[in-house]
Amino acid sequence: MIELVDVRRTYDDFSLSLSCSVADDEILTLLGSSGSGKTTTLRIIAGFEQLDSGKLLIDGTDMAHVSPQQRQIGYVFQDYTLFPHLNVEENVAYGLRVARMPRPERRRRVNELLEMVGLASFGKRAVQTLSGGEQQRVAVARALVRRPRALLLDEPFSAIDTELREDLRRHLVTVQRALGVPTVFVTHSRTEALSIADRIVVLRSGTIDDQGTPEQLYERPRTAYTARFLGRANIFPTASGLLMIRPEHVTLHESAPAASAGIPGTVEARVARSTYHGVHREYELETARGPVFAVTRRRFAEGTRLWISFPPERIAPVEPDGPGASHAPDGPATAASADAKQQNRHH
Amino acid sequence: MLIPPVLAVLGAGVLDLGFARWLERVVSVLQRSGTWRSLRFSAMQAAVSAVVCIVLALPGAYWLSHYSFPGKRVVQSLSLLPFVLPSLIVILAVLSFYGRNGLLNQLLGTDLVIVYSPIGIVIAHVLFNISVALRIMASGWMEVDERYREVSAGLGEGPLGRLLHLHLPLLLPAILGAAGIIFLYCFVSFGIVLIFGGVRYATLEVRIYQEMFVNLNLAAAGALAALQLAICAGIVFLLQWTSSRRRIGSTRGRKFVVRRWDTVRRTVRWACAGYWALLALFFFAPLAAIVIRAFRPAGNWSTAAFVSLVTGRVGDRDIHEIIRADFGELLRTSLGIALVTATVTTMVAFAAARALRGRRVPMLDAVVSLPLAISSVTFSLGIWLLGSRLLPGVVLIWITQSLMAFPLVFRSVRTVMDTFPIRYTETAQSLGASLWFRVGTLEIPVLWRGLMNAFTFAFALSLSDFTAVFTIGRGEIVTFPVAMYRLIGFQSFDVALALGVWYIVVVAVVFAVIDATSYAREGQGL
Repeated sequence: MIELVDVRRTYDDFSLSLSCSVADDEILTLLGSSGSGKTTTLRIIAGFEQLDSGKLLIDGTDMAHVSPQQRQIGYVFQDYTLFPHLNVEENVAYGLRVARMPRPERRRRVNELLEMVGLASFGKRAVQTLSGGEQQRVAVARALVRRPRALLLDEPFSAIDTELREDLRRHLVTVQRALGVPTVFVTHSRTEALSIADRIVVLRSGTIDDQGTPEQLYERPRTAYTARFLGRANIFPTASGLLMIRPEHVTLHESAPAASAGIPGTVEARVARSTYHGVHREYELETARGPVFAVTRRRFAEGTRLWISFPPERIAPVEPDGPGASHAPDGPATAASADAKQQNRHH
Repeated sequence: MLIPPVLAVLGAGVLDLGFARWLERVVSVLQRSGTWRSLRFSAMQAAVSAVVCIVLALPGAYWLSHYSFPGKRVVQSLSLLPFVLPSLIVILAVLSFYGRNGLLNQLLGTDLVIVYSPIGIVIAHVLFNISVALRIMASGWMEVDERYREVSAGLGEGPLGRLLHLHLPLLLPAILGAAGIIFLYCFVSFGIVLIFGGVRYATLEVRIYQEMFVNLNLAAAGALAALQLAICAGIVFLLQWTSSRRRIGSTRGRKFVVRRWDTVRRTVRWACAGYWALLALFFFAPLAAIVIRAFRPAGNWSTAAFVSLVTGRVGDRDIHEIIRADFGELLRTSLGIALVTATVTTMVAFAAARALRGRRVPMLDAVVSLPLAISSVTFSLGIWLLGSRLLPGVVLIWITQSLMAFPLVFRSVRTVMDTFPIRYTETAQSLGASLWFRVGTLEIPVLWRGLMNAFTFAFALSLSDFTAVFTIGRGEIVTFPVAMYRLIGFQSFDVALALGVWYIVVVAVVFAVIDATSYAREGQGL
């Protein structure tokens, strides 16, 4: 269990302030654009960055005066930082050498880990001969070898071909589940975040914008920012505030519905542009309410006249994201209110 | 660390004599016409050496920076040679090539006497420093934006006008920088002037040595050292100032083209080849002459000189008596001192570079170039004054050599250190590794090659050191350069040459061994 309580860290041009926690055997994803504070948060947990105020607890122990080498946290860097002068086996064994584990036991443990990450026969290989994916798995094995109290991953898939990523993601989740180690995963990719996380924390310029399960955040985001960060979103200003609906939930009618006037929110539209994505087509529609995005397998020529409606159960209210609107400088308060909202959603 | 020895030199006279008599002596030294003659001579020969170096190196710098030609790598790596070449080897080289019985006279059938004179001094200094000029100016030329040339060509300027109006002004900072550094090196030159200058031509550096160790006049030595220090510090300051005032054009989109050799016109190729051939003749022929002359002691091929090194006898002379050591002792002393100096220097440089890693130290470059301004005689003298009653001479030599080598070694270790990713440290930290564990299992193995290069550099600097061993060792500690100096002094020139050949062999073997082991070590981890 990792807990960050009112954590603050200020730099010249950036400040981080947040509260959140990671449960045992949970994968928490920190999602945000570059400069949002994801990596800083990770480095605070690892102990590479000091706190200006607040508390970091791991398994209930305050980490304020615990050095990085005493924290027992596995950290996987973006470029894996495999030590170039050691082979695969020696890299994985490094942490055990530190712990002065006897050689036979060390070997057993290393083999166990290499097998777990699917690299059983790679022990003697030079790290320079490994592919990006293999290097990444060695780095994970090395980080896990001492049974760390937490696993921290900083954009571990960013240097890997898109086709391979999915396999590696699945693999990582399997290993993590087998070991039940609380894991924090940093990424700027929403696909990665949605598919790997038990819970996502969306960071925006140093504070938590929103948090929840992937489904909650995608379907019912708290803010317009999160709504847009996790995917294409149609957001309309109304008298009662902003309303959001995902393109795939917009219903398209080829002729005006018989009881058109009776269905609230049915709007006339014209296809302005269409983009083919393989699994579906995305249409940009011109309407009296402004542009609307819709997604469907059906095919319409540009210029086609359509009618669209928004199923009420798919419409989510969101908070505007203008600066200062919901981002008061006191980050923890914002985070706390996000927590409160989170609870409401659970009920 | 650099300041106490210098202060010791300046202050020792006062303590020794009392202020009044000290002042009297200082004034008398400054009134002596010889002092000012030495100063003038120091400056003149240094200036001439610098100008000759610059003029000779200018075309070379152009070839190096603008063309990729066969053998370019060799030229580049040889440009580090003077740093590890003892002045005594240069002296031997000049003697055996340009000397009265030298190869040049033999080849031309003439009887030119040029070596024991200012000309000999300048030849030796140019030999020593031309590669410094080549390197600095070539890298300066590489910073000249190719687009300027294109603009100037577009405006209709011809090649000569372009050289005069565009390249030379843009290159001026590099030229001044190279000239300044060479001037400094030559201004404080010791061994070469000591041997070639004889009684008539002495630099301030030689005078300081004479006052201190021959005339035992501490006050005079101190006064001269202060004078020299002030001048050198002034030049260093001037160099820093001019380099800080350099106007740097926009570097955005800067372009630099190295022309491929096979696209170059034939006349240009011949000019380039001719230039390097001439330079090689000037540069390597003297070094080759050492070897040739060593095996032809009396005009016939023989190994007599080498044999006599071992047996200790040449005619009725006892070589070991002259050197004051036998060959085994000589080898052990030289290598032993170098080993300790190199180890200590590299370790201290590593610790310092580690501590300063990732930090910007504003005055670092100035501090690092300080030893340029402090002459090695003054410095050795200071160390000797400070420590001769406390520590044995060998230890003082270690200290002196380490301090003198430190700036260069530190610079190279720091460059290596900057390549070490901080993420490695953090990864090891997160795996629980303590500071010492990280240094031992990670930093040293990963940086091994770079550290070994620095070690080799320090080793070579120590092996080639003449001044510290000569002034502090007071005749009891004999290394290769000191032995060569003695042999030249006793006119046992052939044996000196044989010793020079040995020196070259020893250095080559040491470098080869270090090189081989550091490769093996690197391969081990993989």
